[in-house]
Amino acid sequence: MRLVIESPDEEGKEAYYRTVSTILSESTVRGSIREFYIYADPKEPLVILAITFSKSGEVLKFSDVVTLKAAKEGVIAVCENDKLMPEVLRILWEKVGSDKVEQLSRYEVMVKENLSEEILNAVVYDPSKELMTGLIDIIVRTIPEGFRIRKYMQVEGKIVIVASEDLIKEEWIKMAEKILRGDYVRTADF
Amino acid sequence: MFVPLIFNGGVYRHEELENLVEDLGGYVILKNFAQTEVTMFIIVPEEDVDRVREMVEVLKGELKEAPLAGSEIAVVVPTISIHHLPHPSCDVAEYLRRKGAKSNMVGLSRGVGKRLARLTGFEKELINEHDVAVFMFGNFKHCILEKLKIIKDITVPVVVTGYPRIEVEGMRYVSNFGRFVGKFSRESEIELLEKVAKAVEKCVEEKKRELGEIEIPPYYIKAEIERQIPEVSEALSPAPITVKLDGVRVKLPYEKYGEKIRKVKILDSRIEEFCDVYPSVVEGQTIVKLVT
Repeated sequence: MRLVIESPDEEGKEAYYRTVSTILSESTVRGSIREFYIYADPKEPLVILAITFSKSGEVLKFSDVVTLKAAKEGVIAVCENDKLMPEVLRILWEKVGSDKVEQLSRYEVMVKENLSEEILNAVVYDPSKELMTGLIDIIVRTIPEGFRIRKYMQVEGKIVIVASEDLIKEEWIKMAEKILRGDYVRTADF
Repeated sequence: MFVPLIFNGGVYRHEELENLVEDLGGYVILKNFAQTEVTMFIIVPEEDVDRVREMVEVLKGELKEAPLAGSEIAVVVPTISIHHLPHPSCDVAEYLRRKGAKSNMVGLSRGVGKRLARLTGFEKELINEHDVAVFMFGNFKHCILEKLKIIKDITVPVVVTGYPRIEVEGMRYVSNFGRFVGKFSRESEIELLEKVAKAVEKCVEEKKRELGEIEIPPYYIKAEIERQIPEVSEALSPAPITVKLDGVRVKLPYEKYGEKIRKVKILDSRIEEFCDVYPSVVEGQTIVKLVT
């Protein structure tokens, strides 16, 4: 992942780099981010944030992550992935009812009913949903808190946010559009 | 001359230390229990510190110096959102607490942004009730210089933290700080906390010098209020009476207890004769301030 920060304030740039790199290192979706670009000008005041990301992974259905074993009273669903287990349990509680679902061990759940087609096709993990949640978290943490006037622009695989505490100027939107096309603003241009 | 100290140890036999402190003419400023552990902020005469150390060794506890004991510090952050909490504000507040201070976190309602940042009347009064205020600002020089304007109404000594290296008149400034989003765990980061604590310490020393020799120290007022108004022990706060440099904060409502506090007898006089007693801006609290 490439992290680029542009700012007329050199010291502020260093500090922002420290802040953003910590935010990104703690994020669960950092693997999907290809480039993270920030233009920050505190004098205007303006922050433009551009995130280029790639969608990774596939949608996982219930039947993909769970193996079923026949039992006397129903079926035993086995899911050996710890991260997906809570979602598997949530689907079972919702569709079958918690009174008919009993967790036998860390990986095994006893279901006292036959599993319907609807349950087997239920989505357990959707990477695009996870990615969006992760990106929103990064955006909220990165943009200065007082910059509450924001404009979001999006194309496939890229999101650009213009944020300020004053009204957003036309020229800033043009800058953001330029960034959206892939031409980054360089401090030297200002 | 009294020396402030922090004792950490087990609950078992801790009363022995408490009794020794009282016998030596010292005071227990604060006592907090955490399950089987107890933390006590104590002050003892300088010449008797060794006797306290001996007792602490017997109790298998730990004794540290507490340069900020007896001071109430406000740690002011722009808001109490994920941008500022838990790091770095809680880390700073906790570090000051370990140095003996009673630190309170103040999250402003309109503290964000550059042009938008301001203090409300309530916030100003609240911060001015403390001994020292630590204002925590961000990364950009331009924003910090703009934001410093909100501090002009603060009458207590101020320490400001921020990233850029700038010179600020009339207040102590700790650079290289800024917006930290992670825990202060590296040595260099702990050093930064130490710098803030040192700056606060200097402010406390200055204020003590300004106040001069105090005839009746605040911890003595605290002990007498505790003795003469037993209801104070029923207050739910972990520190029902907070010792400040120039008085105490009593966590009892002024309307009900104001008169009782005024009449508390200290040596041959009453509190009202040498202190101002007035309601705090915080509901249900009363301030007792020494008239200097």
